[in-house]
Amino acid sequence: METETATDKSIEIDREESNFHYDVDYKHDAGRGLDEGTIDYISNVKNEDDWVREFRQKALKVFNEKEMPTHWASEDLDTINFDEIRYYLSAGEAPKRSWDDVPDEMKETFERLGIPEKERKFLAGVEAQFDSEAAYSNVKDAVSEQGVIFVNSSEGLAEHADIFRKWFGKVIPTGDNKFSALNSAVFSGGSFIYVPPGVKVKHPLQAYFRINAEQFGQFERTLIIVDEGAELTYMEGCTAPKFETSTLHSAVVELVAMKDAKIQYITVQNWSANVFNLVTKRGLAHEGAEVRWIDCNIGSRLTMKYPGVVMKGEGARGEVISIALANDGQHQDTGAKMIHAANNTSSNVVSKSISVGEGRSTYRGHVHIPKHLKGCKNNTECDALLINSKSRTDTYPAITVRGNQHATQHEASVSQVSEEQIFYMKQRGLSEAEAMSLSVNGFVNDLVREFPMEYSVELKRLIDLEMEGSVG
Amino acid sequence: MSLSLLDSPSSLNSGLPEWYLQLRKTAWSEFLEIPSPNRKDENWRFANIKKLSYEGVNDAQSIDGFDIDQHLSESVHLNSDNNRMIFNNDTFLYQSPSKDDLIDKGFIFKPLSQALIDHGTLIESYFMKEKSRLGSQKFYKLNQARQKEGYFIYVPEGLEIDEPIEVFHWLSGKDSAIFPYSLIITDKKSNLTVAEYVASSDDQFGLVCGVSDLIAEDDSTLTYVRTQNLSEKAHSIQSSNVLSHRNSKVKNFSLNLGCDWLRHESISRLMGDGASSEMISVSVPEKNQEFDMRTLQLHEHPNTSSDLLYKNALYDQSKTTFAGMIKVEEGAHQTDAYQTCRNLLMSDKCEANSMPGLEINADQVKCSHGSTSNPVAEEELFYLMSRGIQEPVSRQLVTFGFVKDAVDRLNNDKLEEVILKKLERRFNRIGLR
Repeated sequence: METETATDKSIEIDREESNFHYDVDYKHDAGRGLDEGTIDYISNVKNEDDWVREFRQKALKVFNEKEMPTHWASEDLDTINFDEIRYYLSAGEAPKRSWDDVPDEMKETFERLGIPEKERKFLAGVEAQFDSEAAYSNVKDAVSEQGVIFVNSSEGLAEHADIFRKWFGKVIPTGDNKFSALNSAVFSGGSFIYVPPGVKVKHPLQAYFRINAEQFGQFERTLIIVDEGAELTYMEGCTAPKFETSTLHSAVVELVAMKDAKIQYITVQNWSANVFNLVTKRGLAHEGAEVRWIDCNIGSRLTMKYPGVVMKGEGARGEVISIALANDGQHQDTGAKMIHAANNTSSNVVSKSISVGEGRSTYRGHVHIPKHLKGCKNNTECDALLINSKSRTDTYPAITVRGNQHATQHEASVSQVSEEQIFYMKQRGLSEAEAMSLSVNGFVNDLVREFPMEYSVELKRLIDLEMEGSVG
Repeated sequence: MSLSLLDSPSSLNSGLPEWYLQLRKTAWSEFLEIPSPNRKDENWRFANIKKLSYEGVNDAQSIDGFDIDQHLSESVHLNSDNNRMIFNNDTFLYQSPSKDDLIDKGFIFKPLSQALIDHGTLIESYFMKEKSRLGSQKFYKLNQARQKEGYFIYVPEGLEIDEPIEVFHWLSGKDSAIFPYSLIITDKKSNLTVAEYVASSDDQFGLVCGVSDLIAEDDSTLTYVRTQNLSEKAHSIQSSNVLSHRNSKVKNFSLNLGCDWLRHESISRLMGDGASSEMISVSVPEKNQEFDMRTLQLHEHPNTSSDLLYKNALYDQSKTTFAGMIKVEEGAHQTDAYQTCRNLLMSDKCEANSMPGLEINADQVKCSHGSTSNPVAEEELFYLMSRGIQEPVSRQLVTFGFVKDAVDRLNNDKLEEVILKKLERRFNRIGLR
């Protein structure tokens, strides 16, 4: 394999210097398959501390011991061949792909989404987007004046261990599930953010800027700590389809909101149809804190993602707002997990899914209110829209309430775009496809409004695109 | 050494059809083969698997001198002696004489052991054809293998029977197990209501492992009401299967009051145009009772409807699990399916688990489910209290209203009265809190 040319020399690279630069001439590739050697390789390249190495090695053992969760999840998981996967490809690898390798339909989609020329190449993974690096630096400078730390996972663990080590792997322990264990073993990339007490970060921080400086990771690890009374909005992903050659994406995202802090985490992801997207996301909300997950999943072969909030302090709030769209051959298995662990905590889940063609969308929810607590509230709503006769949707919530001082309600509905609606619009001169798009956009409209403006505009266009050819 | 459920079943009376004996034999080996439910089984999520132990449990033995009149007078039921059948420990004790005109028209109501001999061929085409889909395969097979008694009802085409049929099952003695089987068939355009009462005659531990098959042929109407008031120590595993054919209307109601632990699996299959099924349940668990209920509304044909309402009022340290699934199969378009589970939390130690599920594979479907877990609403208490009613009384009134709402769905005054009386007794025993 010509890509497997890494040597020990690479270990000596000065990460400080080369951080967020592309024109470095090294490449690292841990090869295919996963064993202790792979882990050592990654640790060596990253020049990690012993505790991180041990953390990874332990995680590998847990990963190997854990069974696939196919007793409840899709059996499609069994088709993942872990020996065929490359677990570590460092910067400098992907840009070698040429624009000609990008499928035509992808190019066309870029065209129609109105994505600028330069960004297209970046999104297709053929070129790094250097402009954004400047943008990232600007953002970094602006926030660092306030004491905000915004770095990648390796740098976070190496340079700011005193801050990040305390919470690293604490919100989502290695053994949480098979894929969190996998991520804990081979993670690279992702953001580590710390916001000091009382700092309200005005502009949303965007992973988009930071991640491209090292390519989107397959196994990114994100840890965000927002200290007392501080506030942060973080955005990751983008609405354009991402051309991925790697078939497994497994991230871990941990959020820690200290007393009275607020975190809003916004994700819009649009994977190509060969990707398994298996993500573990969880937030820990202390007293009076608020954690909101705003999540949009489009594309992929199978997405399994259930953002959660552990409400650990009195009066904490958790929220998950999610939109999923499953087209032919896709399964969006998403949901939410709300763990109430203190008095007067409240959580809200609103989920809307759209199944097009032979697509399948699934909602899985878990709400847990233990004994001896008072005044906990949960509201869950999930609505599913079926577009075609072969479309499929499932809902599997689980709600546990102990004691009589709580209130939970769960509601779900499944419906179609009504024929009268379509008729009404067609009468006014819209084509059937346009009418359908408009209707679907109407269905998710109240959630789309929760996204930042630029995202919501693109989201609407994206839904238009996905709906094309679904009627008639 | 005493007998145990794990010993092979004893032989039966002679004269039973060969196919039945063969099935029974096969079921026994299947029972032994099927592994016990384990923690990883989704169908047993939140279930207390520890309760599934049959150590020391034996087939119930028939009892000499079981006083029917005394037990009848102590229980709540309808007032007429028409169409009544009574069992104790899976032994047939009494049947009120059926009216000749009904028999002339082809109506059949017999204990299972007799019906198998008289109507073997008819029974064979309906007998335990259903798969156990919700987790209790092992116990479904156990019922089949240990079955001794039960009843068979067949209502011929066009016959409408207004007076409800009543069946009593009493369980007596420590460590007794019974395996009742009910097979009810309403043929085309017929109409029937059955009330089945399952109760303990003492306060001992015992096991009821029952199966009921309810088949409603085209344009027929079938209402089945099962009340369970076993002892506080008893365990119960009940599977009920409803087959609803074209334009048939089935109502499957269950009231659960007794048992230390119970598992109730209820399936409705909607199999023809216009088929409809209602599934209603009321439970009032207290102390350490654990009720585990799993349901499936299976829409296999277009233009069908189903509606489920399960209500639980939980006292003390009681625990309920509701797992409901609406499954709309491919091609079952124009389905209307609803599912509601409501838990009223009456103590700060009770636990309610709800897993309302949907699996939709068809188009033009209207489906929804809702699940709530709440204490008695402050406003409702306030309303009553501001009218001079004391808080504990108000609380009980609201709770009674909560369960009555589900009972009202029966649309049968006499049966509603029976159920409400049973509930009244329950609430009186629980007392004002």
